[in-house]
Amino acid sequence: MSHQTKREAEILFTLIETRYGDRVTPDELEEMRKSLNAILDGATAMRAIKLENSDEPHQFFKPSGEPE
Amino acid sequence: MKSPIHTPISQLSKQIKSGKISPVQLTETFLNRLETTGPRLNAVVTITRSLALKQARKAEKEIEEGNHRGPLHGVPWGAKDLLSTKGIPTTWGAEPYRNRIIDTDATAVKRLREAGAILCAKLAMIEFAGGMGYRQPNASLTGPPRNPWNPDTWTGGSSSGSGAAVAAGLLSFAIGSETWGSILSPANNCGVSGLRPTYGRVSRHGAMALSWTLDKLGPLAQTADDCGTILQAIAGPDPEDPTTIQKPWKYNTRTPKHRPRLAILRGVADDANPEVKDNFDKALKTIRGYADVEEIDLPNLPYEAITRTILNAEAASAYEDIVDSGIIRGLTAPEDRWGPYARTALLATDYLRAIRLRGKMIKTATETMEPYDALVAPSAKKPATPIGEDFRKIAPGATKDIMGAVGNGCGLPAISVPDGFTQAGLPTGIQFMGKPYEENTILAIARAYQALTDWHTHHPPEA
Repeated sequence: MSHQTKREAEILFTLIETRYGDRVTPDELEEMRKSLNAILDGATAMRAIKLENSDEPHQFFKPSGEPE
Repeated sequence: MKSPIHTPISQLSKQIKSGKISPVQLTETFLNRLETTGPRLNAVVTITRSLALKQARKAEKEIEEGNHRGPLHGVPWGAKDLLSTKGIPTTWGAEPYRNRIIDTDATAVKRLREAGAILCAKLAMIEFAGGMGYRQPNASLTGPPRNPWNPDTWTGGSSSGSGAAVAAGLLSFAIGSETWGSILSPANNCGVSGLRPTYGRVSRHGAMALSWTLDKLGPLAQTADDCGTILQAIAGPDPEDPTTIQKPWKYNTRTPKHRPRLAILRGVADDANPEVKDNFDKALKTIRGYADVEEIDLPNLPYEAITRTILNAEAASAYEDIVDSGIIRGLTAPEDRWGPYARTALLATDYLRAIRLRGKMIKTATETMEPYDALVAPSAKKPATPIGEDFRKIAPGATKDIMGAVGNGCGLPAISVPDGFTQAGLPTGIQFMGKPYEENTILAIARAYQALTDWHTHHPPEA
């Protein structure tokens, strides 16, 4: 994990700790940190792929109904 | 009369139509098995005895009057307990929903009723279809799902009861669901045939949502042929689910005229359990008798990361209110009580990046698969694991399952059929993964394999 990713992990961990810290034990909190790191590992792998402006999401939005 | 237990639907249906088997007696037989063996395997949530007998009497009367609806008329089945059923609890496998009734029938349930099939049970599943991040089998309100081949091992999940019930002969067939692995895994572990259809082939209306762009419903049954018959009954457009494919689907039992051309991703079985790999290699020898098999490479992309990110982000949203309500503290698996929290920190830009990369993944998979009828691989890297074992010893997302990541991320159909046993007597499976909308192609390949082997005719010892 790079220094930047480590910093990002800390910031995001603070977010989930703030949201849910009072619901879990210290051990569970540590497990949540590991899960978050795994999520960020995936994000890091995806961010390494160059995308063009024209690479749209593979998900199609369609307004309701049909044109006149 | 030969026992109807484990009889494929094609044969059972003929006997029902000719009056040699009574749907009422058949239903009684399966209800008794569900009531005796079902609890020992933790395979069943609710047995729908009175509804089943009512449906069976109706089927019997119609058939006697010459109104045979088709191959599923009078055939008993079970629904994974994430399919809504009017007047019957739908628990999603979760203790907090033990008595919850969603008072509507899922489209798949309606279609099977219209086909004349007899709903006998709501089947056990991993709580929230595994969407809370479980790491070991004791993650269901009905207890750890036990494998009929060895109750000290796991059925696989999350369609656990669907796999166990079909393998143990508690039902003729079951409907399961797959977001990532939830049909193929129990089909592999329980030694049955399991079909994951193309995304959108079967309406998800009335089914629990885990990940809107990954969820699929599909059958688990004795044979590939049975899976085709069942899929035809539940497939097709549904105005209640706008993602359904608009073209109706018909099961084609004809053998293709051309010799199938299959591909194996280089190294796909390298890290498999040695017995899994050995059975896979033997299966390939059989397959080479009727198909060409080539080794190929898939261009490098972070496939697992793409599909996992989509799953994480959509599940975080699908379960947001449930998670925030705190009711997950009442779930069975300790890890499910905190598992969904971490992914709530996933950034919107990362989810969108995954959806943009999904387009590249689809293009890559389409180009790679274009010359072939299907990819072939072991259905799982290992046979059923011990019932008490943490099967995800490393962090979720770190495991290599390129077939699952590409197949589910691209919405591709796949079928798992048994291909042998381990020394310990546990089944292993082989999967054929096809191009989108090509269920008939992979069904034909799987049927050809089952015509040359007898693994699908082996059944677990009576519990």
